[in-house]
Amino acid sequence: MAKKKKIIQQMARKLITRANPKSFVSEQYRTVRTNINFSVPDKELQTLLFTSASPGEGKSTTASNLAFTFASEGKRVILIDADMRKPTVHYTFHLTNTIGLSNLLTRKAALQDVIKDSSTDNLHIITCGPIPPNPAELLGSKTMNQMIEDLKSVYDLIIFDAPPVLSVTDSQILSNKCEGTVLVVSAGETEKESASKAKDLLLSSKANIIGTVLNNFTLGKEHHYYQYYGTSE
Amino acid sequence: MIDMHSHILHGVDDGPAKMEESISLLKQAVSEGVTGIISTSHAYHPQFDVSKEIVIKQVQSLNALAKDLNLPIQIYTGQELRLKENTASEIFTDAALTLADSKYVLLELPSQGIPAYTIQIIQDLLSHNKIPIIAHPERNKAIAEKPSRLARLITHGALAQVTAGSLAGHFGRSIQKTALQLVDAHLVHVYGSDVHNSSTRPFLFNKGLDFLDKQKRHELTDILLENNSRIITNQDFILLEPEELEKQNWWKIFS
Repeated sequence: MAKKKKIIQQMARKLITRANPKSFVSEQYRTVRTNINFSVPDKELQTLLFTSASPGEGKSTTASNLAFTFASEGKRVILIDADMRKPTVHYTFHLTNTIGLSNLLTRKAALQDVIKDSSTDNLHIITCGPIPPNPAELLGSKTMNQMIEDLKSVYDLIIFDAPPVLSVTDSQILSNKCEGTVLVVSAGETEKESASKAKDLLLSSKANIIGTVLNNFTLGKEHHYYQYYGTSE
Repeated sequence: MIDMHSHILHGVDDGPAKMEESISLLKQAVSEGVTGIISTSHAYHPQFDVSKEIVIKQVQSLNALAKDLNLPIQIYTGQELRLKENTASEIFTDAALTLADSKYVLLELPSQGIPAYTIQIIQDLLSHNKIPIIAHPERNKAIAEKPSRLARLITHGALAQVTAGSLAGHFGRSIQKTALQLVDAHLVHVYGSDVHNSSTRPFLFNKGLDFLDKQKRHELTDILLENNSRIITNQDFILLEPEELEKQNWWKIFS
């Protein structure tokens, strides 16, 4: 007879800022938040794009965690899964992906239908929706511009999770529409050349790269200085 | 527990031939702790095409009979729809049944491969707010050969059902291995017995669960069973992100 224990994973697997807000990693996300806030001091940064050179460097993880971190600061945040090649945001927030951005951009759904609650205050999500055959065309469409304008009037910050730069052109299109672009770099994994190629591609589409996030960095033992102040034993 | 894939209607497809057999299958289900069973007779299959009306009528009479016999089990309507180019339109026009009147539909791929129009149908269904569940992918030859083919369908929004008999080893070791691989990669989301009769295609509901238990996949088992009951209540499933499938290395062939 099968065991009937009822432990079902409810907490989002990758959202450490929600699962463990006092951890060292969450603190680092807060540092990134502060850095983003100060990167454009004279005007309000409203649209933010997260991308990387190659797949699997931590775009979606960084975007989700920062969306949560910004929301806990009191900002009204919307996280949009613009990675229409390999969408993952709905897994992180335990949502269903039946309706989303692709429905909106093909004008089969209205904005209020696709915006989903994230079970966190101030944070809303638009998942990717059914995978379309032509993501680049959809992201470059006028409907997309209209959507960004509409969202700007409601939200303080719009965060896009985009596909990798070197694989597909989607990120270049999006970065041109966003006020700030953050390049995620995975320590010990991203090739220097591909990172600089990614940067060139983004600059050629007139992106405003406000900085990079170094992901997957392993701290040595002597880095006790980095520990969260007040919790070190 | 809910069983979401079964052929318990008698005399319509390759399930039980007589009423008595249907009843004995139901009794077996009750003895294994199943409280609800979705009847999914073949439809649009080259050999069997059980119409919606027959399913509704037989399920009604079976439910009445189960009540008379004091069997604590509820039978729900459903169909196992063979994938054809016009499958999607049959579902929109209500000519076909969804699982227990929910938004989920059970699709059966041909046993040899994946037709080219599969993704188109998945997207059509999703755009009409119906969610396709692919029946026993582990027994599809193309998927068993290369499980990433299923991963592609899952990324497009389909779900999949693993068969108890496959996990119990009823279809052989290689299918058992594929089934476990799909469970581990989070590529299957619900669990069904696909019972046809008590001799060649038996119930094996608990035997499959026992196998998962033995392999220490307790949490994944819980999620499979929870998703089963969410079909009845028409709720969204618990979905885990599909994991990268491990490449078969040549030095692991004999392990």
